Amino acid sequence: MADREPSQSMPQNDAEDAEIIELFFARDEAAIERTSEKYAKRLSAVSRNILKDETEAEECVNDALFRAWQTIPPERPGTLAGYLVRIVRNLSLDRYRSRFAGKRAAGEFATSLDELADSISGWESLSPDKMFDDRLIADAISRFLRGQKKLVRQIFVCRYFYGESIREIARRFSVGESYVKISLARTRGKLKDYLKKEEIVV
Amino acid sequence: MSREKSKELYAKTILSAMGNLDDDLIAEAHDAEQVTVQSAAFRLRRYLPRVAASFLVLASLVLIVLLARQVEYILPLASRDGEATDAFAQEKAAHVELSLTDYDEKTFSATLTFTGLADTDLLLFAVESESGAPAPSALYGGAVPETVEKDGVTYYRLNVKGLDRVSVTLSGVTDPQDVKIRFSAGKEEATVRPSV
Repeated sequence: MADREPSQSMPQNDAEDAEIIELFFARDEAAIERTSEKYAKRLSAVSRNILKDETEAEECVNDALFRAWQTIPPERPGTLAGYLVRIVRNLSLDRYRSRFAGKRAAGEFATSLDELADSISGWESLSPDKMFDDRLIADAISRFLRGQKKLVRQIFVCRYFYGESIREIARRFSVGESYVKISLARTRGKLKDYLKKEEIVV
Repeated sequence: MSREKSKELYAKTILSAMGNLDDDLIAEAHDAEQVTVQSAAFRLRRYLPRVAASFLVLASLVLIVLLARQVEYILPLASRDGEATDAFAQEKAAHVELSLTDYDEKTFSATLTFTGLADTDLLLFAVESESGAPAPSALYGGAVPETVEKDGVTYYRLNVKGLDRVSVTLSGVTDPQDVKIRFSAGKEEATVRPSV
């Protein structure tokens, strides 16, 4: 995972996160302890959203902390919180996939998949030469989201990154559930158009 | 590839690619402090019109009540200038009537009439002042009726056997709105506060 430059308006490491990253670089195990103290609860919530299993979520958090220990350095996260959450999300998603391999999945993530699937028509598909380049697609999505209003992208990321339910998102941002649904539907449509413009969807 | 497979692949690819979103976008969505500020701003934006509308409705109601009170206050004052025979509306019992009989610039005299007493032998009534000011005194047949204590209240006691109606004179009524009549006649019990 490469280090990326956050934009001015986006959250960046606070002094404590910077200190924790220095501990990682100094190979001081207190880095793990401090990270766990500050982020374990949040990481656990992200994993739980995906897996709906307390024990597996705890395991994912431990794996994520270990992965952070392995990757920092050489990585120097621009936003420690985002970096850690991304690791735990991907680990959780890997478990989710292996759990439902070949089976019909259930839960919020399955619903998210259906929502996204419904946002393209049957005539559209991913460009064959770009469909396996996760990073290229992720960069396009990141660029697209930066062009959206803050609340719109927060809702989108909460849904399709964190796997939160519509109700949780509505509560988090103090808006109605229908507002969240409409916002997501519009953003999905715009995203598809953007990906078409980028020739990722053809 | 079938259409369904194509759609499914798109969804899975997007969800998978979301895992490589920029860290700052990820952190921003879940930044508790920002969310709190955002929530507060949103709550305000969302509820402000409702609060304003409620306030307007409430203010209108208060205004209507104030106007109604003004009208209610002015009308009886106008009629007081004429013959002092205003019948006060009774709040509860239809068989108690209070009417002003005289006004000496400072206090009113009033006639308190109890009707429908045919089945009653004993009438107990108390004249009270809502505000706690000295209560008007009662005279029956030119004399102060006998009093009895009941539940801490001093009642005038009248033998009304064989009478269908009884009239009592009240003197020293400084504010007719302040007068409260508590009475007990047979099974009937009521508190009447004449409205002016």
